Order: sequence, then structure tokens, then C-alpha cells
Amino acid sequence: MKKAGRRLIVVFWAMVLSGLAFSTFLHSDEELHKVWAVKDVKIVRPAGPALEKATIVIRDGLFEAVGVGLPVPPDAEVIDGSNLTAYPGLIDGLGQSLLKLPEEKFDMAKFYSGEYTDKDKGITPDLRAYDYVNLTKSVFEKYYRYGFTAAQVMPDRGILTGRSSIFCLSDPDRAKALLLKDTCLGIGFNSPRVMVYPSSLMGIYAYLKQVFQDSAYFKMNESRWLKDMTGIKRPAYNSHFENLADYASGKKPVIFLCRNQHDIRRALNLAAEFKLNFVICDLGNEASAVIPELKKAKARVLCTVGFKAPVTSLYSQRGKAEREKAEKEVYPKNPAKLAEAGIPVAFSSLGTDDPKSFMEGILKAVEAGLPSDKALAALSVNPAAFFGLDKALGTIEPGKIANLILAEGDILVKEAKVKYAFAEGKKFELKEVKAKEGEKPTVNVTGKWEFTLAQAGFKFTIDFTQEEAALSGKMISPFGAFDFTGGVVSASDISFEMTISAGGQEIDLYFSATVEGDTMRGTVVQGTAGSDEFTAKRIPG
Amino acid sequence: MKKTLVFIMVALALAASLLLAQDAATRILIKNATIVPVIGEKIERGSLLIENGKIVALGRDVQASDGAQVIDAAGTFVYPGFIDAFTHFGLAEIGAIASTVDYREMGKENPELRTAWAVNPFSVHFGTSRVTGTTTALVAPAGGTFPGLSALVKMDGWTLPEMAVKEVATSLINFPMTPRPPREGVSAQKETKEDVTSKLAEKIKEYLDEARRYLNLKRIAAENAGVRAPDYNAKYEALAPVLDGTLPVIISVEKAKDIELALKFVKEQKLRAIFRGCAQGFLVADKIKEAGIPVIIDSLYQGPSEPEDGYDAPYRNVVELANAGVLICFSSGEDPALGKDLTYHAAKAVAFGLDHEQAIKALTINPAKIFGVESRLGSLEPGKDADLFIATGDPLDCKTDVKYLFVSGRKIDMTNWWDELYEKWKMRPQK
Amino acid sequence: MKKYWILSLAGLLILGLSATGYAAEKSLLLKNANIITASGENIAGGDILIQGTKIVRVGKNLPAGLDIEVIDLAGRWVMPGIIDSHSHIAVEGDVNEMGDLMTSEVDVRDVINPEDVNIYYALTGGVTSIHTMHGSANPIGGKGIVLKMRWGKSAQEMIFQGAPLTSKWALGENPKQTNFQGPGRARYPKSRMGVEAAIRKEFELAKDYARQWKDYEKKLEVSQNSKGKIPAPLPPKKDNRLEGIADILNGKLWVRCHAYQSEEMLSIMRLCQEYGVKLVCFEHGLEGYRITNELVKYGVAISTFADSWAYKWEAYNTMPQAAALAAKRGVLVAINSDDPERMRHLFNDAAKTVRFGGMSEAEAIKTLTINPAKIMGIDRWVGTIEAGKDADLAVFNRHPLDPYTVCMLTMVDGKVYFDRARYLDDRKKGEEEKKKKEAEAKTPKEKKNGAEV
Repeated sequence: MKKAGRRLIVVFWAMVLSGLAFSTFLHSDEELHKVWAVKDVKIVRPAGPALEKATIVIRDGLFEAVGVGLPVPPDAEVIDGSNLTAYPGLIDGLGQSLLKLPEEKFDMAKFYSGEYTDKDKGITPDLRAYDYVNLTKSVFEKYYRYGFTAAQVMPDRGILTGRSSIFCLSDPDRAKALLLKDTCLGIGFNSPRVMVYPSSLMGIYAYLKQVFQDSAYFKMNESRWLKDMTGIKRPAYNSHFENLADYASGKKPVIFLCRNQHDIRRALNLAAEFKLNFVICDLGNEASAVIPELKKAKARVLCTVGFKAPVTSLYSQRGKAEREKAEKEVYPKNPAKLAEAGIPVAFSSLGTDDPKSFMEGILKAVEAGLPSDKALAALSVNPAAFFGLDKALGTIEPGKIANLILAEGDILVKEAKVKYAFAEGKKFELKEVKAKEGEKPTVNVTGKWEFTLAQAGFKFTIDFTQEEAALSGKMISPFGAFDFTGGVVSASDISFEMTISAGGQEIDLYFSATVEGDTMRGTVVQGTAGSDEFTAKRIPG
Repeated sequence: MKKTLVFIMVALALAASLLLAQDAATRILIKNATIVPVIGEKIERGSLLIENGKIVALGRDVQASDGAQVIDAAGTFVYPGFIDAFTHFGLAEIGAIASTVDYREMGKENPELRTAWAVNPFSVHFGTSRVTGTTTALVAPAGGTFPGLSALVKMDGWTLPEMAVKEVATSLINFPMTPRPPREGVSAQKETKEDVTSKLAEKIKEYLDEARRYLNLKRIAAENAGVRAPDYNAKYEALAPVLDGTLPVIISVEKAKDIELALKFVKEQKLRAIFRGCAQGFLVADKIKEAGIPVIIDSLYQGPSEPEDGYDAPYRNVVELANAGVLICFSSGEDPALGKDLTYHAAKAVAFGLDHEQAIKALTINPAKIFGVESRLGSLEPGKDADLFIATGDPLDCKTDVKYLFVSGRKIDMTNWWDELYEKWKMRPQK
Repeated sequence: MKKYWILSLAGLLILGLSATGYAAEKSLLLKNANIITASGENIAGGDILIQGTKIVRVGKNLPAGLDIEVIDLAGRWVMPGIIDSHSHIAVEGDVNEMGDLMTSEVDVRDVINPEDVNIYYALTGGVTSIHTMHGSANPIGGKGIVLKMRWGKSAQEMIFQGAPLTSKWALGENPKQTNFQGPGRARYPKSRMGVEAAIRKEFELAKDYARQWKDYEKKLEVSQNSKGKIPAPLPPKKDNRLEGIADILNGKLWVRCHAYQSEEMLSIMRLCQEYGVKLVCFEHGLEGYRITNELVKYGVAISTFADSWAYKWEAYNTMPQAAALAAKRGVLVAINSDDPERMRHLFNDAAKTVRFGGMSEAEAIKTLTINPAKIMGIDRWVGTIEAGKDADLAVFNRHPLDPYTVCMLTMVDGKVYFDRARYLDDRKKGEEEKKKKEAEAKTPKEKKNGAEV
């Protein structure tokens, strides 16, 4: 009996295990349904009139055939497109929300010793988006809902921010989703530190000049050394030069992250001096003030759509009312003005938190005067062309990657209804979303969160306990531990206050934040002295 | 018997001569000057008699008795000494050197602290701030919500008690306020969803209510033998005269929204308030006037509180407050090193439309009234303290020289730290 | 026929003349002003003729003519536009690059912010040109530049063409970081002697660097003459920081040195003499009155405050009479702001020197005009009201040193950039509009209430 029993167990497990394998095979990405045919659909094209009652055939992740009156292959699964509009899957020209960078632990020893490495100073040309991209099915759904099926991802903090990669939002395995690796180098004008070199804007600019100069010198020195070592001083190795080589030589583009129009001029100067292949990312929405210079430099521009007035702008200096007016009336016109002047434009999601707010921003630009065909181009053919993917993406043409959006009506409108999204030929059907309720808490923040203050660069932990709408907790910081109660949770907003004592002074802090999943974004006000923005991430476990 | 008599006579004579000598030192006649009494008409070619620290007489034909020191002040002007309504004189020497800075205690609630205990009468800044005619100043503490108790002191004396006009002049409350825009290149303050100012004001109210509760319990315990008195609480004790309105309290506020909140607060709490700052006061001048609250104008070395107020907002503010009927006075601000610029701020207000006479009142009789010392200070009238100065011209003109300064009838040696350096280094041979 | 020829000739002449009239720049005549020229006697009830961006004539009863716009100043006071020789406005980002000790590669021209509202505030105070620069955190900091307050123009357009570039040095408490209580490793040097030693060391490094380049050039020549036999030498790596120091040593940059105490000023003058460095001016120089003989001997000016003092120890041993005393003893003295708020009332500061130290009114005006112009190397174009100079003017309703004076109009290059009358008008209109809007916002509500009742 024992023997038989053991055998049974073995067989049982064999069956279960093989069953599991079998089912995994079954679930692996609808690989079985690799052929699709969409019939009688209206294809909207970025250039030229729409194609009515067309057929699109997808096989092996590519468009096989596109046209009117085409036969449907016998092995294809058919989608009735008679009430649908087809768009090429939209491309997010540059974003960072798909990145999950490693947690930066606040190093007290470093803080006091001041011994900062280049990494701490924001000089990270070795930091690759590929290594830290976070692709999951639930994230894909957020993108598909607004028509996006591809995105360029790049770290955007610091001076040499890192290298981007472009992904198809088709597979959680980054190796499979990857379209192009280490495409662009990010250059920012912002130091994460103070009092280390370089941390002032003029220091950063001088540093950039010196590092590109040194990169060229290294290249020259290295080639001389390798060619004929006799009598030549060998080059001093620095990993930066290796990482910068392709970009410094103009082979691959750099993306300048420009916070305002003055940064754009600085970027154009650097690009001209060092003959860089470049793209301008207009974080400050002021590129329209630099149109003549952009045209002269044949610049390509990534427009952001957060439409916040930069701190340097006159509107910001004239007070809240003027600033808000400009953010409503002036800045959203920026993409339209650029397009009108004939400057190639693509859209970047930097400055927005998620695909929903990204699309809302794009619609603001359309409302402010950007023609929708130009907007569509800025989301399809233009970004593909900027980054060398124009032969594979951007239009619905045979041979190109099958990134396709099928929507009920227009997608560049409010309340757009995307029904199907194809990412590399894999179909995803989008369901309706329920509306949000009123004041009842829709989130539960119980647990530990790590807070980072944006300006102060300071970190601390808060351990929350939420009971319905009541919030209490404990802050653990380098200054000590402080309890608080009386916080409030309303829908997905939280607010709470506490008093901490530091350096013999008592400081009142007032926090308010919006929670989304495992992140928070908000503002903290310190008594009468000032305020700062913060983000918080839930600490797992 | 005769010997004793002679002895007594001699002694009396000696005493009399001593007395006379004393009288001679404390009896001073200033003649032929243009006298600006502030209360009453200007007196051309007038004279003013000082005796025993007081103004005894002033007018066209004032005679002096023998033994008076005479100062021929032809071609000059006599004004009552100016009163600087908010300073840190005597509590700080050099800003960057912490050991010399003494006006800020730690913690938020310190209503019992007295600046009178800590003022250094020999601070260099008394000497350098008198040079434009300041003879009295309010010395205030800073920091937290209830920084402490200010003192009203004369700008000269051997010890603080000798200098003090009032050792406890006012209490202070630093009302919550949205901070002024930073002065150079710092990024703008972020907005927040919450109304932090109201919350902080609530906290202040709660504290005052605690104080009331304590004082009430004390009274009940005194009247009822069976009730145990509460343990002594110096902070609440110090708030007692504030809560019953006998001690005025200086409340620092800037923005229009905060001023309105403060007006409500003062009314509810029944405080005898003096506002300080009111950078956006011009937007709510009528309300301030209606509440009868005087305003101490802070140093005008500042830009507009909000950019939309316009580049000249600080100056225009003073003019509009005064025109609305608000009782204003000037202060040289938080930096004792700039004490002499009290007159600069007044002049700037005049440049932008304030009546010159009003400006002089705001430096003299107004602050005297505000601090409740108009029986002694603020104008040249018989019976008042002989706090005055003699200037070569308009005292609001920084080109004017103050030749003599009197505090409590004593002629003050105007030589200060600056003069010491100047006189010495003038002597270095030129090559 | 002859008549016809004469007429047509006349016609051509007239056309030609008017053509030149159109081609000529705009002319502006300012009449009836009290003119403080800063180059001689004041002119009561005088006129200034401006053509394009220049002053062409200064005098009395100048004739008006066709195509000349006339502005009657009705007895107001005009002085040369005030020149602030020590400022940090219009710089984007931190004014100090304090991460490294010497940062001579850093250049303020890379970060000019033409949208800084302080440029407008400068104009409200009669300031038409400023020298904006690096802060005082480094013994040798970055390069500075002169800007004209051409509010509304781009950064490039604000740069004062022809003005020399400057190098900002700092001695004393700031580079020593004595008043700092921040974390981070202590940065050498921590003493005044260390500051001087660090500067000397940097000079030597720059000289070595220059030598390396000279050696390279010699070897390159040899290689080029060898017709391929000797391979070209490897050039030294270009170091922008040491290039900056080299520019100091070869006199290309005008050195402006922040210093307070007399001993450090004396030491640095001696160091500069040793290296042949042209030290132009001490910034603040609050103890400059102690070493006026040496300042005159070495030809160094001071750009200082009227009376700001006692904020730190090195600013304690000074008095408001310092500027006047130094000026009387032959030192070139400018009065500056170093602060955007003080910049708006520099004319009040200059007035203080009349009482403290007995400067004459004319000399006091010079501390704001021709003196800073000389220190900044722009006196060829600005600093006085004389024919041939730029039309940079400040108009006041009273004498600029009068306590109740208000700046009414500021002109740069012949163009009015600030007009108080227009400002008051705009403000009034804005307030009326606001009231209207508030009134409108109320009425619909009232109607609603009425309907409900």
C-alpha cells in the first residue's frame, strides 16, 4: 500500500506539473491567435485623407496587408471594424514613468562628509533605462486606454541623466519588448545637490563644455595611442568617455531637457559647438519663443504638455493670477506655434503623471490650435523619424510592426473610446471604467512609506495607520520619531499634520497628497517658513 | 554755639553752591532756533529751556536764570527726539556672530521673557543710531509665536533701569503669515490645498484659552478656600494683562488676507492690538481704521509683498494707510546696524505722497500715543521729558547733521564707534 | 524747358533730403531740464538732443526742428543713468559655483536671465547699466559681464558691447566659509593666509599649463618641419579652468576682488604686483579707508556701500564716512548695491556720503555714474551726459540727492524703458477693471436671489 501510495503521489505530481506546463503554454500570449483581420475599418492617417472601409491583416506581429477590398486570410480571426476608426499605435516620444529606479537610501555619512561620487552629482551617463524599465500588463492597459503602444523611456534627473531605450508595450519581458537600446543620451541643467561641483547652472554649463571637450580629446588620444604607442602619453581612462562616445561623435542623438527658453538657447549653443545630433525636450513650453534659432539649427522638438509656467518666466514673477492665466492661455499654444512654423514636433509625457493626464495635455494643445493631423503626426510618424524607427513604426503599412488602435470615433477627443489595442500583433480589449465615488476613501495607505522632499532632497519614513477616513501614524527621520493623529483620507487625497522638534526648534508640518497605487505626490508646508513638494513610495513587506 | 552756627552756615552755603552747580549742569537754554514742537505751531527764532531733565518752557521770549548753559542754535532746528517703534537695539551686535545675537529664544511660547533683562546699554548700535535724532526705541524680542515682552528705552543711560521708560511696554504675537517673496533668485513658494494660516491662528486661540482657564481657576481658588490653586505658570501669568487689555500686544501681519484674519482674531480675543508690517495694508486700510488699530511700519528696505502690488507698493502703502486715518509710526526694523535709517523710511513715504508734518508726527507723538507715554514724550511741551535734538536742516534729509542730542535733559556725547574710526584714520599721513 | 529742369532738380534734391531724413535715426529733444552732467557744472534749464542711441548735443536753448520729437521736462532733474558696479541680478540659478575652490571656467554670460523682474526694478530706480557676476564663495570664481537694462530684450541683446569681461575673486570670511554651518567635508582653506596661498598656487598651475602649450607648439613646429620624419606631438588637454586663470594673468579679464579687511587687501595687491595681474577694484573694501595710500599707489579702486555694516566681523571696523574719506584721499570710489532692493535707491545712498565724510554733491553723483563706468571699463560710452555718449539717462522730480526725490523716467540707448506716469496710469486702469469684474461677479447672484424670492 505504501509503495502504491508513493507511486500515486508521484504520478499525481507529474500530472499536476505537466498540467501546469501545459497551461502555461496555453496562456503564453495568445500566441495561437497570431493572425488578425480587421474589416471595413476607417484608417486615419497622419498625412493624407482617411482610408474608408479598409482591411488590415496582421500576422506574426507585423502588418501583412493594408488596403481596400483585400481578401481575408482563411486562418485569420476577424474583427468587424465598421463602427471603428483605426490609428497607428501612438508613441510617447519621451517619458520616465515606466522606470523603476533603485531606491536611493539617504546616506547620513555621505551627507556629513560631503564625499559625493559622480553618481550622486547627477552625472550618470551609464544609467540605462533598459536596466530599470518596469513593464507590466496593468501598466500597459493604462497606456492602451489612451492609444499608446510604444514609448521611449529615459532617466531624467541630473546633468548627464542616462540613456534611453524605446519599447513596444507588448511584453512584460523587456528583452522581448525592446525596440532600440541606448538610443539617446539625456542632458539636463539641474543638479540634485548643492555645494558640490557642479551645482550652479553656470557650473553645470561649464562642466558640459569641458566633458564634451575632454571626450573628443580622449578619442583623439586613444586613437593615437592604439595606432602607435611609441612616444605617446596614453589616455587616462574614464568610463564617461566610453559611455559618451556615440553621442559626442554625433552618431546617436542627445536629448536636451530644457526647463525654459534660455535652456533651449544654451542647448543650441552646445549642439553647435560640439556638432551634436540633438533633440530639444521642451519641459518649459517656451520653444515658441526661440523659433528662428530652432529653425536655423534644424532642430527637432519634443513638446511636453504639463503647461506649467517655468519659474524664470515673467508670468511666474508677476504673481499667481498672471501665472495661472498664462498656463491656461499662453503655454498650451506652444505646440501649435511650433507646428505652424514648420518645426518637427513630437510629444513627450514628461511633466505628466500617467497616460491619462498626458492625453489631457495633448488635447489642451489641440484645443489651443494644434491641428489634429499635426497632433497625430507628433504621436506617430514624427517620433518614429526622430529616433530612427520610421521604417518600423508610425503608420499602418505592410511590413511595419503591428501597433494598432481601434477606437469608436476619434481618439484625439475627450472621452475617447479605445476598444482594441494591438501591440506587436497581440490584441487587448479595453473594458469600461466605473466613475469615482465622492468623499469616501478609495485608498488605504496603512503601512510604511518612504518620503522624498523634492527641493530639500531629504528622506524619511512614515508608518501610516488608516481606519476608514481617519489617519494616524509615526514619522521616523534623522531628527527622531514623531507621532501624529487626526489625519483625514478623502477619496484618494490624504492630509495630516504633525509637530517635530529639530535643533531645539519646534516645527509644524502640514502634509497634503494625492495617492495613486503605491505612490503619493503632494506638498508639505512648514509653519510660516515655506513649503516643498514631495513624493512617497510604499515600502513593500 | 556761634561756631556751630558758622559751621551750619558754611555747610548750607556749600550745599547751596553745590546745588547751584548741579542746577547749572541741568539747566540748559537753547536759543534762536526754529523750534518744531509737533503739538502746536512752529516757533521761528525761538528758545527752549531745559531744567532737571524736563522741558520747562519754550517760546519767543524764554529767559534763563543764572547758571544755565546757553546754546546759540541760530540757523538750526529743534525737534522732539524721534521714537523708533521696533528694534533689537542692545540685543545684537554682529549678525553673523551667534554669540552676539541675543533676541531669540528657542521654543514657540515665551510670553514671559523680558528684553529689559538683557538689553546691553553699551551696544555700539545705540551710539550709531542716535545720529539721526532717535532718542527712544522699543526693543523687542523675536522668534516663535509668543516671543516675549518688549521694553521702551531711551537711547542713553548707565543701566537698563535708568534707560527704561517702560520695562514692559508691550507683548508680542507673531501671527501666522504667508512669507514675503524671497529677495533674490529663490524659487517661488508652492501652493498647498490647505489653509494653513487659519489652522495656525486656531492654535494661538487655543493657547490664549488655556491661559484664560488658568487665570480663572486662580481667581476661583482665591475666592474659595476649598479649591486648590493651580501650579504657578509664568507664561500664562505673563498673558494676564494682555488678555484683560491692559497691556498692548504687537501683532506682526503682512498680507491683506492675513490682516483680515488678524482683525477678526483681535476682536474675538478682545486684545489691545498694535499691528506691525501690514505690507498690503493699503488693500484693507478702511477695515484697520475702523478697528482703531495703529500700525508700526516696518523697514522700507523691501520690495512689494506680491508682484502685482506694483514696484512702489511699500511706500504707497504708508501713504494710503495714513490717508485712511490709520495711526502710523515708523521703525528701523530688525537690523540694529541700520538704526539710523529710521528717517530714511519716513522720507521715502514723504517722497511718495505722505505729508511731511504727518511723517514727523509718525516719528514722535504717534508712537508716544501708541505706547501710552504721550504724557512724557513725543512733543516739545512744558512738563515733558527733555528728549530732543538740534539739526542743521530737515531731519528727514540724510544730508542733515544732528549737532546736539538730549536725552532726559542730558546733552549726549554724540561720538560713536564710527567717529572713533573716522577721527583716527583721518590722521594717517597721506603719501 | 529750363524751368522744368530746375523744378525737377529741386524736386530730386528735396526727395534726396527727405530720403536721408527717413534714413536718419529718430531724434529726441529733452527740454528745460536741470542737467547734472557729471563732467562739469550742472546746467539749469538745459536741453539734451538725442539722435538714435546717442547724445549729440547738451546745452541751453537747443533748436527743435522737423522730425524731432520734443519732451518738455519742465524743470525736472536729469542725471546720467545710474551704473551699479556690483550686482547679481539677471543670473539664472545659483550665483555661486562653490563645489570646487577655483571655478574660473564658469561664465555668467551662459546663464543670463533676461526675464528677471529685478531688471525692471533697476529701471524704476534710475539704473541703466549693471555689472553682474559670480558670488563670493571662491577665491577665484567665475567671469562676470556688464549688462544694459534693456528690459524686454533677449540675453544677448542686453550685453554691453565692448565692456571688458571680469573675473570675480573673494578673500576673507566667505571663501573661508567661516559663517557656514552646513554639513559636508571642510574645504581648504580655512584661513586668510590659506586663501592667498591657494591663489598663488593656482597662478603657478596656470603658468605650468601655459608652458605645456608652448612646449607643444615648439614640438609641433619641429614635427611639421621634419616632413613626416618626426610624428606630431600630442597636444596637452585643454583645461577651461586654467584657461580662465591664464586670461587673468594675461590681462584679458578685469579683476574684481571681494575683500573687507585692510591686511588682506594689502597682501593681494602685493601678490598681483608680483604676477603682473591688473587688479582693478576691491568689492566692498570696507577697510579701504585705512590703506588709501596703497590703493592710490597700486591704482586700485573700491566699489563699496554707503553705510551697510556690522553684518559680520569683517564688516565691523568701518563707518559711513569710509567712502568719502577714501575719495578725498584720491581713491576712485563707486557706490554699489550688491542687492536688488538697494539697487532701487542708490541715489539715496549717495546722499548719505554728503553728511558722512563731507563729500560734495557733485562727487556723490560721480560715485554712481562716471566712477563705476571707469571701474567697469565703459566710461567711453556712459557715465556722463556729454555729446557722443550713449543716451542713458535718469529723470527725477527733484535733485537726485534730495530725500524726497522720485525717479520718473529711465532711458537706455535713447529709448524710454521706464515711465512712472505710464505705470501709474496702467495701475489705475488695472484697479478699475478689477473693481468692474468684482461688481459683475456680484450682480448675477443678486438676480438669482430675487428670482427665488
